[in-house]
Amino acid sequence: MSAPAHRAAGIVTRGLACGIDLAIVMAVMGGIYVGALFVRLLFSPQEFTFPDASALLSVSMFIGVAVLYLTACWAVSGRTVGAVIMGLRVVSRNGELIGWLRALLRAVLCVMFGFGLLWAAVDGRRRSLQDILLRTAVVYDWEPDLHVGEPGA
Amino acid sequence: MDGRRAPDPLHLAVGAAATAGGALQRVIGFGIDTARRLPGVDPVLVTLEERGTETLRGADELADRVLHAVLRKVVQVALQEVDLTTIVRDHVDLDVVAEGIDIQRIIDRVDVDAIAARVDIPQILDRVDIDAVAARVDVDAIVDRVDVDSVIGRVDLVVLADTVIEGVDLPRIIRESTDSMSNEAVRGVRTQGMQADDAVAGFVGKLFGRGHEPDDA
Repeated sequence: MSAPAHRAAGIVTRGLACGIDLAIVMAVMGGIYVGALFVRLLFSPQEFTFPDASALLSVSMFIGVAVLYLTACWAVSGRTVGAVIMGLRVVSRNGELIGWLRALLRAVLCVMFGFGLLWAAVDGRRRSLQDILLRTAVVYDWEPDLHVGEPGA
Repeated sequence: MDGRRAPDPLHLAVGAAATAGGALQRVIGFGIDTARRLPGVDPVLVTLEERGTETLRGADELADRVLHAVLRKVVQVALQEVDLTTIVRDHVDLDVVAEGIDIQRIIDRVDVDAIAARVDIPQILDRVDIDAVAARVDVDAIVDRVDVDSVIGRVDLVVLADTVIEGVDLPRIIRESTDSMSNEAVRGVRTQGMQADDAVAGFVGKLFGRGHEPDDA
């Protein structure tokens, strides 16, 4: 089966990609937690106890990791791991990569207001709230590299 | 004779008898020769000789007949008394005898086709109760007698396995299968996702009374 045209992706693929990315962020956080444990054990092995994961710290760390991860992925290639698996790419209206600033803004908006994705289900052009605000689009793109100039959105 | 050994009485007796016989023969021969010279005696002698010859011949035939009868009787009795099979088995080297037999020539002379033509195989088969034969065969005992381990021991499994593995490009197969597997899986997920997207879009479109597909402009 050949790759589809670069048309806007719907809520299901985008939701699945988001779920995969969420799992990856959680895995990264778990890795950070285990790494912190080892560091503590290394520097104070006598009075070692398992740290209580403070909710505030965890949430802020989650936001930080997620924003970093999404920004880097979208700015560099337009695709996170979830997007790679589902064959998606985040592009600007003219089909190019969205750049670091817009990637950062989009990442913050996506992490803080994840429900904005739901709008893609009802929007006529399958745009999330973040897409509408930042004039971006998520398209089907099964190719590994971005082919500028043939956007479907 | 060196004089130290005592003369053998038997030899002495035989020697004396031979000397006496020789003297008697010479005396008789001399008597006959002298008588022949006398007139009228020779024809009598010839007649006597012929008569003697005939008598001897008759005695010969009689002796032959008697001997035949006696021999027949003796052999018959001997065969009754003697177990010939045992004697042959004990004293005859049958292997050597068998070596001398040209089996190939015998086989050449036998017309196997003619024999086979006379054999009524269906009749034989009718008479054989295969089920009974099969029932008598103890398969377990046969299997018990087979030493599977020794059979396996004779097969060099390592060499066999090496040969098989050499013939198979395992890395290539694994690479191709995993490649195609992951490709197929990813393609399947993506295609299913797209179809689900379209289904959701269609459902929402109907819900809001929009056209069938969103315009992607």
